[in-house]
Amino acid sequence: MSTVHVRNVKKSYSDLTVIEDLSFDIHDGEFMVFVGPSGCGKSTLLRMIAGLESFQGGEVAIGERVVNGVPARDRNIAMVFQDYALYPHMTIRDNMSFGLKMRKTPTAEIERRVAAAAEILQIGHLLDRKPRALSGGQRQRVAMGRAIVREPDVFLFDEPLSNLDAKLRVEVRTEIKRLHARLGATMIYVTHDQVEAMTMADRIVVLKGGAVEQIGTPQELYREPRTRFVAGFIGSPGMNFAPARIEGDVATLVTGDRVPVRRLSSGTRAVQGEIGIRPEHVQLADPHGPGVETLVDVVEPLGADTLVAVRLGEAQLMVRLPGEIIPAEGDRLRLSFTPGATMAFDAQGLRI
Amino acid sequence: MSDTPRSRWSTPVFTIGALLFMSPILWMALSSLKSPQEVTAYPPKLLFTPTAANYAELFGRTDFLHNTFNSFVVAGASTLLGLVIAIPAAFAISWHRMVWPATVSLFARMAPGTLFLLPWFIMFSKLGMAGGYTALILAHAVITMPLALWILLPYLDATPREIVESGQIDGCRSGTILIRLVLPMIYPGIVVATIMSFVFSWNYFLFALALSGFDTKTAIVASFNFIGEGTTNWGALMAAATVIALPPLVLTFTVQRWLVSGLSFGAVKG
Repeated sequence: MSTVHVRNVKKSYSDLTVIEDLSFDIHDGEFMVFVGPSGCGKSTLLRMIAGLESFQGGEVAIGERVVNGVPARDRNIAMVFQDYALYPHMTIRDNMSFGLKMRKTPTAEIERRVAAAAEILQIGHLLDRKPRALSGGQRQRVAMGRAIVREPDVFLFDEPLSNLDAKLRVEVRTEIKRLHARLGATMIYVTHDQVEAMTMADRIVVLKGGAVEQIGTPQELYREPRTRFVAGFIGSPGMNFAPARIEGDVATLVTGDRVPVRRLSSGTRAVQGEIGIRPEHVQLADPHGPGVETLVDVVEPLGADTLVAVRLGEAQLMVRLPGEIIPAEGDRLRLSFTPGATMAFDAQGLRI
Repeated sequence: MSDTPRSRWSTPVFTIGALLFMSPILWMALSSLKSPQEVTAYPPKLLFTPTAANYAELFGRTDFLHNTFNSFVVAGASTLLGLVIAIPAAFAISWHRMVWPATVSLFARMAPGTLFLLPWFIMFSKLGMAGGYTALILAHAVITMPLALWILLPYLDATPREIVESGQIDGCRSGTILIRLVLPMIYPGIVVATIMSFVFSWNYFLFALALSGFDTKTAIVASFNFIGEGTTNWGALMAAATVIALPPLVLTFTVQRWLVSGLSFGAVKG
């Protein structure tokens, strides 16, 4: 178990900057998720912590020890790869023991740890098989077992669920979470799936273009996104945006509708920007209260809820309505926004 | 996997093709069993009384057995040496995606052998190594090493990088990763490289002709003693050729079941 510190790291391939000046700390025992679209540098960042990737500036520390230039084999980390990376010619038992053998762990201790990990992951009956005889989900469990037996300072996961089918993904997700609760170890987890990030993380680092957009707990990112990108990325479906002129606490939409917004700063100057509202913060308007006129575009009944895509002037909004309300395409809907849930963003995409 | 029905012509066509390719070898084997009169008879006789006289002469009156032993020593050692250099070299080239060292090694193989011959002869003579096994083995490693390198490259390129990285994280140095993790996965490639290196070294004439001494003459060089200025002892020459052809054939047939690929299946998502 250990803390991890990333300070001012930079990485570039000749002219292309992949990571620019990144800093953050990961607490002892924390489950940290790096999330972002492909090419945002999240895997590169993880591999830098692992010691599989060099970087040009700054430093990475595991605990109090700066590990710049320390090869991966001396970092006491364990990694679970997307493609499992099991050794095909070894049995599952040998796969799990290999890292310990390389570190000259006594045989009795290796056996004890392998048995304990196999018990946790329920793979005891697979120990004498070869990886090719295992299903994808079983292989991923073995890959986790291989990490567990090492009792590393930090666990690293590089998109470990991407090759599993949807149902299995939810299962293994729960298993990793349970594992974290049980071991209390520091874990860093990379994914492009915001649902994985939200459900598993203690804290999330949202990355975009090699830079940190925001770091926070899932709740913080959901409730107080600092940028339009984070607001749109977190949540399912993501936040809706509509161009507006924002003046004080009131936004005037292109349609002329006036909507109250909850501002971060108390600016009074009029700004051309956007308002943001989450699908779950939109409801059918009280006939006598305030509301905006919209036109129903697409209806997706999900059972518990109905997702409705509506048009508000030029803007398109996704709205989550109760399951019993199923409008028809072309219907007109008068909608209102939950008070205090409407946010404002400037033209650069920063929350104001 | 496509499962197209085989044409009914394929078996006869393959049989005829195989016979065409095999005919010089059959001719060689048959000729080695003919008497001096029959071997040069025209039209050639297909039916004749086989005789072992040529083989008796080969092993009785010449040192051919010792020459064959020399061939084994040189081909075996140069194959081993070639692999010992080529395996780590190919691993490094493949891992770092660095192509130029492989290209340089290929140049050595593409250049005509005569280019090396004179400088080597002088060099090995001055070192007092000419005529010994060492000079010959080193010279043949120039043939086997690039060959093995280029055979192994695609096998290494197909090895998932994550396996190597996983080994690094598991605490291995590069050498351990190569030996414990990568070699078992490229086993078929090593078998192919071994066979090809052995066969090429075994059959290589020029270096052996110039660099071998009386005691270290290889079988292929020795067989040329049957070609005289005026007459050629065809029967004995064919017997020698048959003996020379045997080890590569036996080697290939015995190890071909190892050539079945697919060992890496299950390493990453299958």
